[in-house]
Amino acid sequence: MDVPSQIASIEDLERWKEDGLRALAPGARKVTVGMATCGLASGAKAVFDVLTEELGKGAPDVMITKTGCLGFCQMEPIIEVFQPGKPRLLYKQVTAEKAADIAASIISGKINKEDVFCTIDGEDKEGAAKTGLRGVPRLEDIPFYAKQEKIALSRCGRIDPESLAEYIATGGYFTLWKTFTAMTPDAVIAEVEHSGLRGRGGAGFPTGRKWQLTRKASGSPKYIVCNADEGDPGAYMDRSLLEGDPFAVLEGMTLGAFAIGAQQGFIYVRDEYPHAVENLLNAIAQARAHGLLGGNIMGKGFSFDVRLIRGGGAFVCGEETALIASIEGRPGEPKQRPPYPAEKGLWGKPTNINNVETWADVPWIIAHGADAFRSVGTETSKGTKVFSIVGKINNTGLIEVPMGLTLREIVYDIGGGIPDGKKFKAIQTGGPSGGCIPEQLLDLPVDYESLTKAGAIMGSGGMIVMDEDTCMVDVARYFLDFLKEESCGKCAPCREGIDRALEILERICRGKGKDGDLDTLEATAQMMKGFALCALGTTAPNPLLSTIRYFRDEYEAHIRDKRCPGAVCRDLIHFRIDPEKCTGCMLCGKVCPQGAIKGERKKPHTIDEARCIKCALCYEVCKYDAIVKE
Amino acid sequence: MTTLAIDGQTVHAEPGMTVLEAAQRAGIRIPTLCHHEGIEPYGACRLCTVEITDGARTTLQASCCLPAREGLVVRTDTPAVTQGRKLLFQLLLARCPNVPAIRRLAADWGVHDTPFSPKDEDCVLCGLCVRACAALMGPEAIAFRGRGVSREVGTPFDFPSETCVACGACTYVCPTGSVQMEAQTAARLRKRVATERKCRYMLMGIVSSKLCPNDYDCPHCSYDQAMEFRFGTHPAFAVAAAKRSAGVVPAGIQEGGKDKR
Amino acid sequence: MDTAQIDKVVEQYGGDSSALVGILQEVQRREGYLPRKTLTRLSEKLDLPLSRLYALATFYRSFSLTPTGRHKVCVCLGTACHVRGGQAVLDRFERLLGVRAGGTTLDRRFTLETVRCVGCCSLGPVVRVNDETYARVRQDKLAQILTRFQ
Repeated sequence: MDVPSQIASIEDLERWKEDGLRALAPGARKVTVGMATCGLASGAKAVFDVLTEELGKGAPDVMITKTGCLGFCQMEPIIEVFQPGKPRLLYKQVTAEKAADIAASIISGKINKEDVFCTIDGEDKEGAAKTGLRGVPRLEDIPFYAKQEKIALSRCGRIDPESLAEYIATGGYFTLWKTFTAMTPDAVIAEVEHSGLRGRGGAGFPTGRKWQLTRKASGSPKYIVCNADEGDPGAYMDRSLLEGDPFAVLEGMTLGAFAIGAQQGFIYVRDEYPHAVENLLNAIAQARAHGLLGGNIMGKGFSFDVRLIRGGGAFVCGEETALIASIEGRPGEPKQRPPYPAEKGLWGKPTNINNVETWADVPWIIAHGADAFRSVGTETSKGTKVFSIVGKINNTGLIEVPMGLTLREIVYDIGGGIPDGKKFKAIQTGGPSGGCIPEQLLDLPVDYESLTKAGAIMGSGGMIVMDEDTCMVDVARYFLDFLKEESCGKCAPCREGIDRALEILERICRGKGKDGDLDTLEATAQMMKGFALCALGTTAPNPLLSTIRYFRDEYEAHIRDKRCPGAVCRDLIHFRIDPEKCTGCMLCGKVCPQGAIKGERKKPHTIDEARCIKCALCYEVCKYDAIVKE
Repeated sequence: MTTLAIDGQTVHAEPGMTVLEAAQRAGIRIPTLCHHEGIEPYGACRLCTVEITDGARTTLQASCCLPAREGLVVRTDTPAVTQGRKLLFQLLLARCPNVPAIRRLAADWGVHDTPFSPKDEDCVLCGLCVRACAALMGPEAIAFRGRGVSREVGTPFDFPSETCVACGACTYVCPTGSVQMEAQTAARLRKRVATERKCRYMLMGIVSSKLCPNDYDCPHCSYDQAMEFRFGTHPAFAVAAAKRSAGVVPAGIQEGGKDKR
Repeated sequence: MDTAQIDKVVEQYGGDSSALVGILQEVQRREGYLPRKTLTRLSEKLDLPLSRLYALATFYRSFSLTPTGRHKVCVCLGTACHVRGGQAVLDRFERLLGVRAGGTTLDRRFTLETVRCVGCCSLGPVVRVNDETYARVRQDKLAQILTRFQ
C-alpha cells in the first residue's frame, strides 16, 4: 500500500482514495460477507470460513472481505459477489452449504441466477437480460429497499468498516478538508442549523441551535460527546452505524468540535455492544495514526481527540445528565435542568451531547449542503431517519427513510406486512418512553410532532410491530417492568410511581384487577409526567397511557371479565387439545416439562390443567394446530 | 432584587434565591421533604413541584432547584400541582405508613390514606444524611447504593464505618428518624482504649484535643450541649462554613448556610 | 489480583474520576466480580472514600460483588424478543439451571442473567452465552446449548 502515512493535503487524500477504490472495485473478483452482529448471530462466521477455504483452493485470486449491516437483517447471512465490469450480486440466508455452492459457482464462473437475491448497481430489466440476469431484481426495486433513502447508513454494508481507505474512497474526510480550508466554525453551525437537523436520539432538539448554545457558552475547555448508549429494547440503529461506518461518526464529531471550539470528545458506548466497541477502537487508532485525530489534524492546526467510555449497564445513562455523571465516575443519577449541558455539562463546562446518528448525518450535510438535506422530509422534520422494524413483521431489519413516510408504508410496503396471516394490532415507537399506535392511525406521517400528538414519540427509532396475539396490558406491564429495573431511584415519583403502577398492572394481568385500578393508574401516570426529575420518569407513563387510550377495552376485559383477549396473560389463559385435530403423534407429551400431557399413540391427547404451567412449548411444537390457546 | 409572582402575589427575591426560598420568605406554603437550609438542594422528593410560566412556556418544575428569575409566574395551587402532590403523598404514605413524621406531613396537606398497598420502610431516600456527610464533614461514610426500588443508604458492605466521625449531622437532618449512624459509631468508639477515646468534636476537627468524659452518651453530655448552644446550630454546619471561609470547599456546599444569612 | 496488579491497573487507566468505571470494568473482567479487598485497595490508591466505589459497584449492572459462574447465559428480554417468547425461554433456563435470573449455579458453572436488547431484534428470541449469540432459540433446544459449555 503506497499511501502517505500522515494525511496533510488534498493530494494525500486523493492517494488514499485511489487505494480505497482499488479495494472497493478491484481488478480481481471479490466476495464480501456481512459480519455485523446480526450476521454473526446468524452464522456468518461459518460462511466466511467456508468461502475462505473453498476459494483459497479453487480460486485464490478472489479477495474475501467483510462489511457491516445492509439492514435486511431477516436475510442474514448476506454475501456480495463482485466481478469486474459486472453488476454486484447479493445472496441471502447463506448457510455453510450454500456458501460452498456459491464458491463453486465462482470458481467455475457459472453463476446460478436462481440463487441470487438481487443485484447492486445493476442494470434495469433490459440490461439485466443482457448480462444473463433476467428476472433478478435490483436492490432498489426490492420492496424492502424501494422507499428507503440512505444518508446516515449510506456506507453500511457497502464498505469494510475497518478500512480507512474505503471510507476515504467514498468521500470520507474530504468534507473535513473542505471545512478546514474553506469554512469558519460559524459557517459550519449555520449550515447545520439551516439543514433542519434535529437530534436523532429522541428529543429532536435542533442540532444547530444546540451547537450554537454550546459555542456561545462561557467556560473552557468545551467538550463534545457522542451518546451511543442506545438502550431502547428493539432499537439497534446506533449499533449498526458504529459497526458499519465508525469513521463517519468520528468525522462528524471532528466537524462538531471544530464548529463549537472543543478539543476533547467522548464516545459513550453501551457495555452490551462489544463488536461496535471493537470497530470504534480500530477506527480511532487508525485516524490517530494517520493524522486525522489528535494534534494538528491534517496539518491544519486544529486538535481534537476522543476517548471511548463503556457504559456500566444502565439504561438511564442515555439521559444526558446521567451520562455526564457516568463519565465523571459517579452513578448515573440525572440532575435537574436548567442549567443544560450546553451551559454546564462535564465537570461544569459547556458540553454538546448528540446521538450517534446525528453525528453521522453531519459530514453528509456539510458535503452535500443543507438544502440537499432539507429537500427530504416534512416541514418540521427534515432529512431521513433510521428505524429498526422488528417484532411481528415479515421483513425485520434496519431502514432509513425520509421523514414523512407513513406508518402504513413502513409496515406494509417496506415491512411486508404481518407474518402468518395475522392481523396488525399496534406499532410501538419510542421504546419505553414511547407509545403504541393503533391501526386507525397508520396513515400518520412519521415525524416528531405527529407521533407526539398521537401519544407516542419518535424516540431513537425503534419500531415494534404487534399483532392480534399481543396483549396490550401485557405490553404496558412489560415496559414498566423494564423501567422499574432501570430507574435510578433518586426521585420518588419515578421510583415509587413505576413500582406501584407495575404492582397494579401485575395484579390485573393475574386476574385480580379491581374497580378504581384504572383511575389510580391514570392519576399516577399524570403525576409522574409532571413531577419526575428526568425524562425516564416523565415519559415512563407513555406506554401505559397510550394503551389505555387506544385499547381501554382490553384493560376492562382483564379487570371486569378476568379475560385476556390477546391470550397472553398466563393466569387468564388455558391450553387444551382439540381432539379433532390431534393425531396422537406424542410430540407435545415428550416436550412438556411438567408431564402434563397424557395420551396414547395415534389417539387424541389431553392436557392436565392442574399441572400445566402455560409455557406454551406444546403450542410451539405441534405441527397440526391441535393445541388451542384461549 | 428580582420580582416574581407566586399565586398572584408579588414576591421579591434576593440574588441567588430559589423559587422555594422566595416563596417561604413570603410566607407561601410549599411542602418539602428533602430540603434543608445549609445543604445544596437535591430535587429528590419532588413535593415542592409547582407550575412555572416563563414567557410563553408553562411547565411543572421542582421549586427547590429553580433559581428565582425576574418575571416568573408561579402557581402552587393548580389542579395538576395539587392532584399530583396528593398522589405523591399517597405513594410516600404507602412506602412509610408507620413513620409519624410522614403521616403528619401528609396530613398537613390533607392526605390521610392511600390506595396503594403498604410497605414498611422508615427511610424516604431524601438523601439528606448522605448529602450532609459529604458536604458538611466530608468523610462520605454513608452513601446511596443500589438503584431503583432497591436504593438504600448505608455503609459499604454494611460494615461499621472506619471514617465516620460521629458528628451526628446525619441524625440531625433526617426527617424520619431512621438514621442510626451516630449510635453505631458511638458503639464502635466505646470499644477503643481510653487514650484513643477522642471526643467527637476532636474527630470533627473543632477542638484540637479532648477525650470523651461521658462514654459517648452525646445526647446527655453537657459539653455537647454547650457546643450546640455556641454554634446556634448543629456544629457540622458551622464546620462547613468555617472551612469555606478558609477556602476549603467540600463537595456541594451551598452558598449561604445559616451562619451567613 | 494482588496489590501490585491493582496499582498497575490504576496507573494504566489514570487516576482521574472519569477512569473509575473503566477501572472497575477491568477488575470485573479479570476477577469475574469485584472483591471487597480489591475495592478497598482501589479506594486507598485513588484516595477516594470506599462508599463511592461501592455506590458504583451496586448501581451498574455490569458489576457483581459476588463471584460469578464460568459461563454467562444471557437471555434477551428486549421488546422484540419479548413478543417472540423471550420470557418463556428465561423460565425454561431457570428450570434447567435451578437458579433465578441473576443467580449462579452451585457448581459455579453458569450465571443466568437477562439483558434488555443486544441489538439482534430480527432474530429473536436471542440468547448469548459468553460471546456467542444464539438466534431464534426454541425452548426445547436450550439444554443442548448448555451442554457445549463445561
